[in-house]
Amino acid sequence: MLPGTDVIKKAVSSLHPRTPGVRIDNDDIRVGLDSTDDEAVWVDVIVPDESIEEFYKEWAEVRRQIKELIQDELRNPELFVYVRMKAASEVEAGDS
Amino acid sequence: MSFVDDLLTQAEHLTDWDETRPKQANLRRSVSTAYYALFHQLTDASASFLVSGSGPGRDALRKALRRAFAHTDMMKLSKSFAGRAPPNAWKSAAGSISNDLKFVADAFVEIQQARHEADYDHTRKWTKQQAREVVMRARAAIDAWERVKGGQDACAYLVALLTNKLSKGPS
Repeated sequence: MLPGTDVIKKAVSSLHPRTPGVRIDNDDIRVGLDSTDDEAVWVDVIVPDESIEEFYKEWAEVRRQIKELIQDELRNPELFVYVRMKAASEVEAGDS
Repeated sequence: MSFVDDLLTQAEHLTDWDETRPKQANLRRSVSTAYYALFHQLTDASASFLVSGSGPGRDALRKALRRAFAHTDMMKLSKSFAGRAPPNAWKSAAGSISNDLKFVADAFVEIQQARHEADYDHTRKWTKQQAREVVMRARAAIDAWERVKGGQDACAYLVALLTNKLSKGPS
């Protein structure tokens, strides 16, 4: 049984990417079933537009950290966490 | 260029097709096309690994195998290869799972889910950056596959992609 999104927010609150301004979209964390009917979590990372190219250097590591922080918090190493990237301007414009 | 390269290029074109406000149709097709690039890369590799050579009928056999892959089964299997612990059923055949193969398996899961949402879930909008990142990750996964292919773990993955549901692995 999946918890509410507050637990997910707490789990990822210790994440501190090196790229300035990068943050978790706490308003768009989702839990539910994925296309294979397995429980899953969706987390979006917001990146300042001018830092996207720089951020790609640490993107794989940040994704790994997010997945493991959530799996550890929920004590479920098999839980799949989907991590995606949005540009800050897209969030401000209400594109997502 | 190969078919897989063509698909990735098409996906990139679709992402950048609209200069100002991107149309959802283009972003969604971009995500879907990126998935099929990775899907074809892996299923072609698996079919070629399972039926090698150029003797009579080999191409037809490979073609028959390529049509046998099931998206859901591939995704479930890939979840186990992407995880922190190697899949128990394939441990003896795969040995330790390299970071590159974990990256490929993780990307396959993420991008298949993205494709599912892009094709069937119209309650959420895709942003250009979300779509662009999916396409870049598909390309990175195909590059990672080039590095890892031929390894013990990669060979086990190719067999497991097709047979996992039937055999539950060698151990």
